[in-house]
Amino acid sequence: MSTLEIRDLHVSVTADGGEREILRGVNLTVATGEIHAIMGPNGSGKSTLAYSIAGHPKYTVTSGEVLLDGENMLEMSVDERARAGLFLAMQYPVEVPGVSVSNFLRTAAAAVRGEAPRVREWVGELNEAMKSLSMDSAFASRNVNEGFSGGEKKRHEILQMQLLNPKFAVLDETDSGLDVDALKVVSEGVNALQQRGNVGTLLITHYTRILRYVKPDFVHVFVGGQIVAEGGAELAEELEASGYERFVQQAGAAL
Amino acid sequence: MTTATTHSHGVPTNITSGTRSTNPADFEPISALQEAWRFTPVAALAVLEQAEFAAASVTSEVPATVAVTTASHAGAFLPADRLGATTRSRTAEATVVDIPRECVPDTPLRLGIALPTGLPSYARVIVNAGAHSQAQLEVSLTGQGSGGVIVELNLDAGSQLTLTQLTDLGDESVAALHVPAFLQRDSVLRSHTLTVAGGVVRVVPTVEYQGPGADAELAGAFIAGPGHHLEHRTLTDHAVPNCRSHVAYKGVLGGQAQQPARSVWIGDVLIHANATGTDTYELNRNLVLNEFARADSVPNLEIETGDIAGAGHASATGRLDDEQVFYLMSRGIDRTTATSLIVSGFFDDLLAQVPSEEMAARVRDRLAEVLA
Repeated sequence: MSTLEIRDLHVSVTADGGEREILRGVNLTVATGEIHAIMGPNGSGKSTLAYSIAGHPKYTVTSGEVLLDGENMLEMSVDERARAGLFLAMQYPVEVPGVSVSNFLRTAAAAVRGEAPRVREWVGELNEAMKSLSMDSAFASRNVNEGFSGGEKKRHEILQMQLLNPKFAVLDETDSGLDVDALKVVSEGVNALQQRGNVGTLLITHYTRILRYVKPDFVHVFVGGQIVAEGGAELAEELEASGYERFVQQAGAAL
Repeated sequence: MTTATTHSHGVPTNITSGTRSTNPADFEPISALQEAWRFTPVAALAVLEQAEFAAASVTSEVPATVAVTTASHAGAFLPADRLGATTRSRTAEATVVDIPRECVPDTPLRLGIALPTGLPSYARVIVNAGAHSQAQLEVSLTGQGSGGVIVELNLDAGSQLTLTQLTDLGDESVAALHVPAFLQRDSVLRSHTLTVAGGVVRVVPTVEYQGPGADAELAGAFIAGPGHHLEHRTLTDHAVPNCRSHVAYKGVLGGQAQQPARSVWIGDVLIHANATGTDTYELNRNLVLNEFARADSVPNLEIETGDIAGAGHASATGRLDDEQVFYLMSRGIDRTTATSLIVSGFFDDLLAQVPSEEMAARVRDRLAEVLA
C-alpha cells in the first residue's frame, strides 16, 4: 500500500509582475484504494493543486511537502514524478502535432515501466484498453490530441492512465464538458483502474454529476486555496442541494 | 537577446527585371546594403570570390538508360546574382545528365558533389529530363570546404522529375548553391531541399515556367546548428498561364549563446500579367530551440494580374512549446526525448514525403545531434 501526503502546501504564481498566493496550506492524505473528491467553486485553486503536484513550472511551491511513500515529490522533475507513480489527467490536454498516439503511448509506457513493452504484447494491451473505452483503433494513428473532440481528449487521458498504471491519479475536471455517454465511459475507466486495487485517486471536480458514477470515499470542499470541510459521500449530496455558498461565506468570514 | 522574427512583405526584389549575366563583373560588389544580401554575413562570402579556385568533384551513379557526359555546355541558367555568376563563370565544363524522352529509370539517379578543403571549388550539373520521362534524382553536397554549385534542371514537356537534394557541409564551409529549374508545358517538378549543416550556406532554388500547365512543389527542411547560417531564397516565376507552385519550408534552429544559429527564408513569387490561372502558395515555419537563435522569414508576392486561381502565404516562427514539453514529461518521458518527439513531429509531414530513405535518415540523425 502507498500513501500520497500533501502537507501544508503553499503555492504562488507570478502574475502581472507580482506574486500571488493561490494555495494557502493544503493538507491531504490519500492511500491506495481510496477515492477522494475535491470539490470547489471556480478560482478556488483546485487546478493549481493538481498542476503543483505534477510539477508544472508555472507554479512556485513556497512551502510545504508532497510525499509519495515518504519521498519528496517536490524535489523531482516532472518526468521523475510520473515515473515514481503519479499521473495527472488534464482538463485541457495539449495537442502535439506530428506525434502519433501510438508512438507517444509506447514511449511513455517504456519510460514509466523502465523498459520498452514487447511489440506484440503491447499491441494487444493497447487495443484492449482502447476497446474498453469505446475508442476506435484508428485513434492510435492520429496525432496526440490534434483535432480530438472534448470527449476524445478525456478518453485519451483515461487510456494513458490505464496503460501507465500509476500509484496515484489526479483527475483535473476530467468530467467537465462531457456528455452523459462520454461521462459514463470515462467513469467506467476510472472505476476499472480503481478495482485493480493498487491506485489512489484524487478526483477534482466542480460538479457532483460524476460522483453518481464514481463513488468517493472522502469529499473535501476546497475554497480559497484550502480545504474548508471534509466528509463522506453525503457532503457531495449537500453540495448538490445547496451549492458552495455556505462554505464560501464561512471561508470569507475566517479570512 | 530576444528571438527576432520578421514577417514583412519586403521590397519587391524584381529579380526578373534586374541584371542577368554570367559575368560577375556585371553585378555590383556584394554588400549588406543590397536587398539580396541584407540578411547574409557578406564578409564570409569573400572566399568564394578569391582569384584562385579549383573544380569540385562530381560523381554519378545512374541506370544504363541515362547518359552522363562532361561538356562545355552553355545551359539555360542566366544568373541573377553575383555569386551565381561567379559559379557559372568558373564552370565552363558541366556534368550533363540526359534522361531520354519517355524514359522511366527504375532506380534513382545519384549525383555526389564534394567541396574539399583548400581552394574554393566549383561545379555545374545540367539535368535534361526528356519529354514524358519520369525520374528520381538525388544530389548530395558534402565536404568540409567551400565553393559554388549550380544544379540546372530542364524539364521537357510532360516530364516528371523528383529531386532530393541534401546539403551537409562543414562548420567552416561557405557555399552558394543555385538550383534553377525550367519547366516546359505540363511538366512536374517535386523537389525536396534538405540543408542540415554548413557554416554559411545560401541556397537559391528558382522555377521559371516556360509552358502552361506546369507544376512545381518545392519542399525544404533545414537544421541550423551552432554557428551555422542557412539561407534559402526560393523564386517561382510565373510567366505563362495555368501553372502551379507550392513552396513549403520548415526549419529548426539550435545553437547556443556563443555560437547562435541563424536562418533566412525568402520566398519570392512573381505572377506576370499574362500568367492567368496561376495557383501559388508558400509557407515557412521555423522552430527556435533557444533565445539565441534568429530566424528571418520574408514572403514576397508580386502579382500583376487579378485573374488567378489562388495566391497565399503563411510564415511563422515560434519557440518550442513549454506546454507540449510538460505534457509529454508528465507521462514519464524525459526532457530530451520529449523535445526530440516534438521537433521530429514538426518535420514529420515534410520528411514523410522525401523519397530517399537515406537522406531522410540523415536529417533525423542531424536533428538528434542538434537536440543533444
